[in-house]
Amino acid sequence: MNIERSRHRNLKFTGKNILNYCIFMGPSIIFFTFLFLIPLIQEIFYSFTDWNGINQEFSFQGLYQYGRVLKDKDYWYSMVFTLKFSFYVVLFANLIGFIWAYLLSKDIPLRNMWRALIYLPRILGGVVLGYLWRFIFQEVFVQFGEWSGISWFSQPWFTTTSSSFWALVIVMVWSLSGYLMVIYNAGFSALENTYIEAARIDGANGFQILFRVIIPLMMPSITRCLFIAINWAMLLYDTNISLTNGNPFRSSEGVTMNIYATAFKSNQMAFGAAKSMIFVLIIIAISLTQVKLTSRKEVQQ
Amino acid sequence: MILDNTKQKERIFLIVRTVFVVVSVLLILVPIFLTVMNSFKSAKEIADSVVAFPKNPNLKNFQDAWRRLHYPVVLKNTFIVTVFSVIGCVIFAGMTGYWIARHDNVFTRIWNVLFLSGMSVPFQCIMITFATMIGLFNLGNTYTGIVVSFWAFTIPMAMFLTSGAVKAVPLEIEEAAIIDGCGMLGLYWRIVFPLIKGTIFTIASLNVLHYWNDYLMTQFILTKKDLRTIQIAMQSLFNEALFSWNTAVAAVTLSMLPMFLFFLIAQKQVLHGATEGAVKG
Repeated sequence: MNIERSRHRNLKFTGKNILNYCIFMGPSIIFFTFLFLIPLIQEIFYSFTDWNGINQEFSFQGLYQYGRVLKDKDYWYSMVFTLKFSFYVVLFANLIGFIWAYLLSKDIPLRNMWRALIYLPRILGGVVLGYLWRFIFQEVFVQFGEWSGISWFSQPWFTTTSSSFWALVIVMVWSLSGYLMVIYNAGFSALENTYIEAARIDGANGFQILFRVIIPLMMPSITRCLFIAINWAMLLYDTNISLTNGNPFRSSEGVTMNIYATAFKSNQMAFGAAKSMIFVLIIIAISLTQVKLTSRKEVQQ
Repeated sequence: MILDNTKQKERIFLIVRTVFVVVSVLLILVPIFLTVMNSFKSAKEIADSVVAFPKNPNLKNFQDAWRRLHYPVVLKNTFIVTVFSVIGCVIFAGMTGYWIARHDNVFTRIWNVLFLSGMSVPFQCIMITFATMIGLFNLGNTYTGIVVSFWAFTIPMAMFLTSGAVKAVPLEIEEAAIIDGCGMLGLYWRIVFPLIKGTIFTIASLNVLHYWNDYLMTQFILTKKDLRTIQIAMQSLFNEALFSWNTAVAAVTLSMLPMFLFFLIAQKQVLHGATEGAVKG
């Protein structure tokens, strides 16, 4: 009861003191404003200009940069690459994470140790992750392929578009599945066992219990994990440069790499700003659609 | 009879489950294990077989990688940046989160919404003007620059989490303290903070990983050789020089080590943080 009440009540006596506002909210507001809000507004603003980042002067160009973005083949290539990559990562990482969480939600010896070990890849930084896996692909996989005779493993990694693509998918699934497992696992432990018991008494078999009872009840976790996976995969940058660095011939470049090159390597800041605006709008559109679609399926417990 | 049958069935399921999980864990660990093991081998040994155990394990590769990475300097930089970022973030975000939870008015509501918007806009969206902003304030190649930037980007979520934790604390305690003449700072640090310590630790451990592993934002600020963090140093090491795998895997192992140790110590908080932080994604 206390929790409910205090949520809607203010602390008395203290609200009017300006000094307290400065102490408690001032620092956060200052850092956030100067390094987040102002850059955000500037970026939106500059995307309508022809600013190059070096000269002080610029002129207003309306939607000119956006028109250029629409016609930029490299940009849309990287967009399709990112979308395709995200699709597979989201699909596999969620599937694997869900299965692991399901198995670990049941009675199993040493559960916490397994959970921690499965989560382990997540604590590696993106750059280190890429170089670790470069070794695995170029040495371990190749040697394994030669030994076992499976030519897929011994292919020259990062020299063909498809090998770079699948290498990125594998690494991100490896890194993300454990993280999603932990979130799904929290969902499973909040699951009321009575529903499953009731379904079992009514004579439902394992598959029916999974698809008719467990998955509907797990929908909030699924919504959340899909959201996280989509965002992580779409925004990938560090592993992208360390693992494939766009090779071969910029064919494995994600959108962030493309924006980075436009803005900082060819000094077209305004063009890059327009690209990042479109990118963010696409991410938000995808996330909102996903959240809407999956949360509609959520059931009240 | 029937009871026996289900019991047996359950036992078989348990075995199947355990085997499946153990195999998954092994698959997860194989890349890390091979990387670490090959750090002790010579280049020729690696080329011959990656799975063979080192013939005469030695630390030569590590010495080489240590020198090329400038490991002590890099480690020190990353450590300084992480520590100051974590402490500041927890202090500022905690206080703001507390204030917003306890003072519901137009001002705090507006800022609450703005902070929340900060959680949903990715860094990629503002990185171009962020980089110019860093230049404008002369923050390039300073610890202050990166620490302050980390604050700006992680305060929203930390604030959101503490705000949630504060709302679960009964208000009566604070009111009683005020009547006893406690000031607002004392109230927060002596009464509220101890009560939400769990959440604070979760936030801190979540952010340690974030700061330690960040690359995209850090590369805008720390570019000078003696200021690089681990991720930056790794990237420039592999970018600049072409060298054999034995040194490379040793460098990877060295750079993984600190966070493995951290995970070993703060495992509970990190795993808890993974679920708590999932509100943001």
